[in-house]
Amino acid sequence: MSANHSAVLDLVNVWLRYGNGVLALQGVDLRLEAGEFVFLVGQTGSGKSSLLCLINREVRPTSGEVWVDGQDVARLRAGHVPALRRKVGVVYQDFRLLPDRTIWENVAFALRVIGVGGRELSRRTEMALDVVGLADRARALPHQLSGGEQQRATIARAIVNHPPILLADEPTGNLDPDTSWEIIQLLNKINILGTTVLVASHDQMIVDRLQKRVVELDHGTVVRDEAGGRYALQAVPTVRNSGQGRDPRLRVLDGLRYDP
Amino acid sequence: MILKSLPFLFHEAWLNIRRQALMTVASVSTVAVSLSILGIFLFLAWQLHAWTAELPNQFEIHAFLRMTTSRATAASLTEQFRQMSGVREARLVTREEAWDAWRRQQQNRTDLYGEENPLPDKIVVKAENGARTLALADAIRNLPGVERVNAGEEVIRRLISVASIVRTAGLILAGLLALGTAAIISNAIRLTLFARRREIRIMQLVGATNGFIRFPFILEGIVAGVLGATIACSLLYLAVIYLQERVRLNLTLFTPLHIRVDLPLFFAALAALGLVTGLLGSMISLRRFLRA
Repeated sequence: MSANHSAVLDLVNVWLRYGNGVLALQGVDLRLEAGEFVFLVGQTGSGKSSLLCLINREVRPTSGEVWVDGQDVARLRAGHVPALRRKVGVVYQDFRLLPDRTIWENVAFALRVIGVGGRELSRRTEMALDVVGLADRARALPHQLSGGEQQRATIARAIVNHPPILLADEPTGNLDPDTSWEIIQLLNKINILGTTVLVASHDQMIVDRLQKRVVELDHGTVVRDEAGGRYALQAVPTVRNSGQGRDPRLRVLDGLRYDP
Repeated sequence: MILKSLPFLFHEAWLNIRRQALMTVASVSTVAVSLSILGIFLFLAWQLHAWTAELPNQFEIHAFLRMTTSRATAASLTEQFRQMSGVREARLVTREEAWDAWRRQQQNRTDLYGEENPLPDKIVVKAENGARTLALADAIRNLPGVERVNAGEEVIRRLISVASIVRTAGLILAGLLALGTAAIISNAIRLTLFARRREIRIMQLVGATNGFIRFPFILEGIVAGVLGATIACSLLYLAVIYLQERVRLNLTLFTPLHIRVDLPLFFAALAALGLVTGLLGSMISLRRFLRA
């Protein structure tokens, strides 16, 4: 514990070079106070996912410090990694639900593996499903749900043991714009309920609409960090949209405004 | 924490076994086949070892006495031999008895051997166990009144060295086969691990400890090992019964086929081997899997 690292998340001069020689992060400094909602943006390969992987210790930094909830996880012993992961909820683009278990079981799974059982298990599982609005789909199997519903289930699993931090790696990458917006609203709701949320995304529409703090990575360095930011400084067409114009479905959302 | 979660963990192991029924069948039958092969080999090695170890017991020491030895001295020498440690039996064969036996054997072809008895008295000694035969023969050789000792030393020496080669080679081969069996089981379990890598990944992400992740798989490994060993034991037992029946009917006197293996001990060893290889196999694959 250190008074200097009282923030819920504090990366200090973090460098990450993978075994294959790829330099993923170069001297990143990033500090998140409890209760913040932060977008991590940047091109594919800019280091967003690597940064998230550092936080729940899927990889160790080559050098630097990664403080999570007052603990430098870069120097964490392997035996303490499970305890760290219980403090960090994760949501992925590809959902990662167990296909042969119901939504209820998928969410409860996260509690069972940390030794919660009985009434406590049911109570907390139902509460998490309630928060994400899936209470009536609890008995369904993942493949019976839409993409948006599956992502809600993943979020329920990530928050079911009340982690102080929630990481989301391209949570809307596989979803249509309407559903993406719903998912982001859900993450925002969870943030308002007290969880610090860090979302890696290159979904320009969502980042621009929500107007939260935006941290931009480029080739492994932080090139921008602004509150109430947009996806890009100017409306430069991204590689993804170039030549194709704006997705016509986005127009549906033009009238919508997020209102916390 | 593990204790509190035991019902869940057993349930998970059961679910795994049931959901991946085919995979379970694969690993159980792999274990069964490997252990059967190992079992057949161990059985044969044991049998061969027991047989070669027993053979020298059937050897006798023939101590030929000087022609000048009186019958009374011969009798007292026989008694003296009987008192020696390591002797099971000592019997005096007089020259007349030997001559009669010889002539009977040669169907009285006196034309070849003449009528005069050239044979000395001899004392036939049997050792308590084959390994002592040589030492005993040496001791008897130096006694007064004994002219010559024939103990089939050369044959015994060879047998003993063959027995020790069989034992050593058997142990080495059995060890190699056991290693191979463990590797096969570990591979079979790696397949089930691979089939469930998604579950494992998610378990790791939501903060399950490695011990917790391991438990159902280790349980599965043990179940596969024990089930496989049970099948292998049953097959081998049936084979042994069949073999025994055939021996009793046709080859009553053919001693090498008498079963010398301690069957309860043998099957207990095979079952223990199944359990240990199942346990080791799952632990080895898990170690490699969880490190990644």
